[in-house]
Amino acid sequence: MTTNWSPQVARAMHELSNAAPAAPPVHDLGGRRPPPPRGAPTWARVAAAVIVVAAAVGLVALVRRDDPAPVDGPAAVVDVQHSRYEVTITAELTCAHPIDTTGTFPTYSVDTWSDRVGRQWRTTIAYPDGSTLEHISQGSAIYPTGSFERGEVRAPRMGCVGPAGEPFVLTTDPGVGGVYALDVTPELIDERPYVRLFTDDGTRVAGDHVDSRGRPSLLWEQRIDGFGGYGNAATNPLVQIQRWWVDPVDGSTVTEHQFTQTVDGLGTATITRTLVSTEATTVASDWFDTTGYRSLPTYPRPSQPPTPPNGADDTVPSP
Amino acid sequence: MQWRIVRSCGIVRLVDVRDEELYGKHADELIRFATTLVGPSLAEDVVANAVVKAMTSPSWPTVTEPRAYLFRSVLNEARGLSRSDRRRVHREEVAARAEVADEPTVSLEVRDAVGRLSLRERSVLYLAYWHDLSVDEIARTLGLSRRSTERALTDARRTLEERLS
Repeated sequence: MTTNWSPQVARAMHELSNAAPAAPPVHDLGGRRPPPPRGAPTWARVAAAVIVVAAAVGLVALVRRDDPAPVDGPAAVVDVQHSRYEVTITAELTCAHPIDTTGTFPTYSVDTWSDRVGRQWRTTIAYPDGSTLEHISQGSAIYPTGSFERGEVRAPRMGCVGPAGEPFVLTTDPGVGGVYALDVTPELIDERPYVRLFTDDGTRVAGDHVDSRGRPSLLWEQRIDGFGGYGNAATNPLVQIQRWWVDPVDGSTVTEHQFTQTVDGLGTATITRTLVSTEATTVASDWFDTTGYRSLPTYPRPSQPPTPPNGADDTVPSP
Repeated sequence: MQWRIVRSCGIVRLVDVRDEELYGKHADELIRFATTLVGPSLAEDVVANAVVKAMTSPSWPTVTEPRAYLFRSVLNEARGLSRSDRRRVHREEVAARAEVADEPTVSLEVRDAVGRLSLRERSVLYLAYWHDLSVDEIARTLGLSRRSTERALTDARRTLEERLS
């Protein structure tokens, strides 16, 4: 509709437009203060911590077709840290309609190659049927300036389907984003304070512990109580527990990470990621070539570091 | 679907990546739309709440025109703001203007003139002015009749021209 706008209308529209704030970043959408529903009691927020976490699991058991052979000689090579992980996703669901997991795999392996000098990372997720999901990040491990992917996610979504067809996912493995790393050093150390570590969020559990592979470990744990439900409702009490098994020698290398969510009325789902091996090696420089990959959107680093959760202020909202 | 883990209010949530892409594509126009409706101070919360509600709605997977759906969601969210919220924000903005003179603000004259428009009039005017939509397109976007849309647009233009001349 082309029309001649009066100077008065133009002035009003432009003043309003110029005063518009920046759109809230996508990772902050769910953390905004909700408007108080009319006639309903107010409720307090459980905790305030906003961060995007890409955790990985370690493991090595498969020999993959596209493993890069270490390169010798003065050809174009890149020094990398190569890590292998194993992922396991399980669930015990009590809901009437679990999400269909046909065609997915609850166990698979993950390889990552980290070029920390060139600031590029490659991840290959290999599923038992031979299919792969591959991702390359550039610039930053957590807020990449270039993000590329090929393949499909074959990890199951463990959760339930609500009465109106909406899913509630208790856990899954995203398979996208930045580096898939369990060990936060050094990739994520230089992203601080925009990345939170297990020492920020967890509490050391006293005593002797071992991970799923029987390796002696320090154990850190975080528990969060809250509410969730279909359609983002706050109807069902839930508990989220994270555990980190840490190398007792250096006290910082995470060898296993586990996230468990239990939602009243729906059940429990767990994702466990285990480091199997890690080594310094070299690969050909074209190992990080993004030809044939699809480009994914990238998100700017937030202007403010995430607010740490305050356990002392945790309150359970009344639905 | 591809999922991304985000942490909100301390709770891990799993967000559909494609919804994130959609939001990123329309975020700027949604925030400008919300600013036209409720002013700059409330615009962020209105957009955030509207988008979350829209994308977690049971009907979201069946929406064929997500952009129009998001605009309607923002309008509905703006309608849900209480008068006390709007008055409180107005007081805060008046006080803030005295301290931060170099940030772009809406003049009192424009604020007063726009304040006399209904939310429907503001939303119709916004879509006509910034997106050059036809009356029929605006009506379809906002779920209004053609006649209501025409009338809202005419009334909005006349009010602003009278108040700001």
